[in-house]
Amino acid sequence: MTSSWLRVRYRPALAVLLLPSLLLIGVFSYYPAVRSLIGGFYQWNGFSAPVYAGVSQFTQYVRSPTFNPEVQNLAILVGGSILITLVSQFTAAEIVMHMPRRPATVAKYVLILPIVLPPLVLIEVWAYLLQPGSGLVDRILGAVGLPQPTWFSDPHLALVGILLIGFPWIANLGFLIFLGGLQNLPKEILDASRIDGASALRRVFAVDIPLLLPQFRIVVVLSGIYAVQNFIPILLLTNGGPGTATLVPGLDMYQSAFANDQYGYGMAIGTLLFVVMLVFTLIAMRALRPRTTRAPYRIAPTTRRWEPCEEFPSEEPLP
Amino acid sequence: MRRIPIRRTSAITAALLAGTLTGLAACSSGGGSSSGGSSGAVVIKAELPPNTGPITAADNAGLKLLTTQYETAHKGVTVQWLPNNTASITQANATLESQASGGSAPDLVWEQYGPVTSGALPAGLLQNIKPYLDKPNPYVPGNTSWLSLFSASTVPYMTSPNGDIDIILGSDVETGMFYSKAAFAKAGISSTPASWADFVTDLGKLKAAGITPIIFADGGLCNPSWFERLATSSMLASQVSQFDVNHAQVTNGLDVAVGIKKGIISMSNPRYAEVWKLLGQLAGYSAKGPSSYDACSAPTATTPPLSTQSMLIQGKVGILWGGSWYIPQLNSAGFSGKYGVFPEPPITSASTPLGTGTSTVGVIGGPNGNGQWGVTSQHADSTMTPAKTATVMNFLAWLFTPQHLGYWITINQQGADIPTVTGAPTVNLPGLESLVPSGKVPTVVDVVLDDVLSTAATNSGLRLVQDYIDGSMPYSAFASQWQSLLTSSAQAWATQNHVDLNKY
Repeated sequence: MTSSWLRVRYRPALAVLLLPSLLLIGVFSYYPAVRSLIGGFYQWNGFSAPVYAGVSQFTQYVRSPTFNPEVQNLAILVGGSILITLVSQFTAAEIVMHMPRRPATVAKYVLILPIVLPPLVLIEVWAYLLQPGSGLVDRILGAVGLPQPTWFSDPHLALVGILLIGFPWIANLGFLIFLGGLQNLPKEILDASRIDGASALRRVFAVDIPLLLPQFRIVVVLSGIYAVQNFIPILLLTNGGPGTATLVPGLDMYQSAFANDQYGYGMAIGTLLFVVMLVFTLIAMRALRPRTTRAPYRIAPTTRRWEPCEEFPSEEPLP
Repeated sequence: MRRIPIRRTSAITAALLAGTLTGLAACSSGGGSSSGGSSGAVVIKAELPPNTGPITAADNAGLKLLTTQYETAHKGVTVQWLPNNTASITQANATLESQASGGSAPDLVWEQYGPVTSGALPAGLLQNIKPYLDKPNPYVPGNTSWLSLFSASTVPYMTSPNGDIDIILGSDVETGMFYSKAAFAKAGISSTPASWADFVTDLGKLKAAGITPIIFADGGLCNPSWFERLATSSMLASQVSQFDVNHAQVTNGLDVAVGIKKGIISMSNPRYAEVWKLLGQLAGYSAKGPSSYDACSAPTATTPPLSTQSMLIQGKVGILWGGSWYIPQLNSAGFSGKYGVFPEPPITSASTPLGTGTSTVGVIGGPNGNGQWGVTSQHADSTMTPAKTATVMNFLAWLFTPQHLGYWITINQQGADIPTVTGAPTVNLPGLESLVPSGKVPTVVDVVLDDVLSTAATNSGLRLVQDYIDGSMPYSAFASQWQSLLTSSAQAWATQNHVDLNKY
């Protein structure tokens, strides 16, 4: 009774308290976004009056000679980033999770501490590491008799160079999400798997990953969106080149608006990117949707796969 | 031509400053009588030359002194110098247009003649200052018009196709080939090349001696746009009159659009196609690895594209294609006496049967140094009244007397820039004289890589050139895509500028 009374009494007050935040978010986030959606339909050089252009700027972008390379580069970057994130950060979280307590604590801090490094500094560091001929990576390759690639100048390697930034890619939010998820796995299930003799690898694939699908989902979505949005390393290191080897839609949007004075065209690209990210997010959320919620598991005697108990049908979430 | 001037402080700055303080104080006492039409308190907001730090920085000491003297002589006028940390003219113009759309642009903005006279900068953003330049400079005794104080070669660069002057230009830069004397000695090269064919032969000798012959730095626009200007001006020298509608020193958007429409600036024109075949030949001698460098990057740049100068100093490359600003930079890096410089050699029939042999000295260089300003319109700057415009121009007249211009440009650029006003004092830097044209410079043909048609075309063009030089794109594919870029950019330019190309 008391709680419902409080809810009734304080709801208007809470709404009022939210107003400043809502106002600021509206002005600085939603208004520019909506303006951008509208701006894509106008030609505007940033100075003269905008001219209505219909969907011509959208079609112009899709038909532009750089569209195909941009989409290809984006697919490689998004796919590569997600793969890198999932493998490296999940693996690191698994290792730390199953280390003895004290070394695990030390490892956790050591692995995550580089997250405080400003991204620009990280990019600068990798610019030096991958410097053709004189960079550390090329020096090491040269010392063992391997060819010394020209990372950012070689059209076939430039994207690889961009993906290499941040190696071993652990110091990231994904590592903490996975680690948190692993720490919260039901102990009885882990104990059961141990009693049933499941190997570590088997446990990872049959217990940990299925139970961590919500974490995988959020990490996939976040790293995918980040890969689409984060063209800063490309802007600083290759400017989309050589040629179109590292050109991505985000950079094209930025350059169109802020270098080429084609603000409307840039906003059209931005709108298309928004749609692509929305579709990607919906697909990822759907594909990685957990089929059960906290259903007890047992190992089937014949296949030794983890299966839900009969009394808890997998399609029915627990109350 | 692309170039963002690079600033470095050195002992010469302090020496020059101290040496000229007295003289300037004397100068200032004579010119302070003119009020420039201003009345009441006026605050002039002016952009400093790029990357020179605040007005209190050593590089700006000359400007600071002159400004103080002006403010003392003109009570009620205050000049607020705004630091300019722009990395490129395109970035600067994007910022300017953003400010101008809200009517809050500075009064005096840093500009380059390329985007101003080509029409890449939106019309109406800058004021036509020709009426002021047609009158005498009030601070120079005996002159009939301020414009007459500029060297004859400078005025065409300031003049827009319609005859307006929307930009004032303070100093010239020149370009040339900077070579390592040790590398030349090792390769057995005893003299600098007299023709493009000799130049290519020398590149071959350097390569045979195990030295990376040259860095054609295509990470930025400098080297690519220089090559386009050099080779196109030379190869089309006999055909330029057919599309040079405005008869200016440098071709503008209209000229180029007409040239494209007439099929002269076309890959199907053997002369024009030869430009890009020559680039393909040069690319064969260029270091592949550091091609993400930009020839105009500061020597202390920490992010690629890095400066190529360290590679010349370290003996990793034989030749760099650089500008007059390299001279003080290389000297201050301790490389003085260990390098030489020669102007870009002419493209003769020894290189291609279509070669014209036209002298290309001075074709790339020009008034792209320092002291390049435009005065914003009231549309772009809501504070800009006619009276304020008069005050701003009066202040510019003060900065552009021969003595004053030579004084502050010398401090700002350590002698690497040459003032555009006749009679201005200069510093005789060793090597600089050979880069300065002694005769008439032929009509300069800029096509794609210098914002002539649009910045978008320039950026797309650079990507194509990168692909071509890096070997990702064969000549046939490059020629096809370049032609497509020419055609679409010319059409877009004509549409945007409401020009019917069929009239030409």
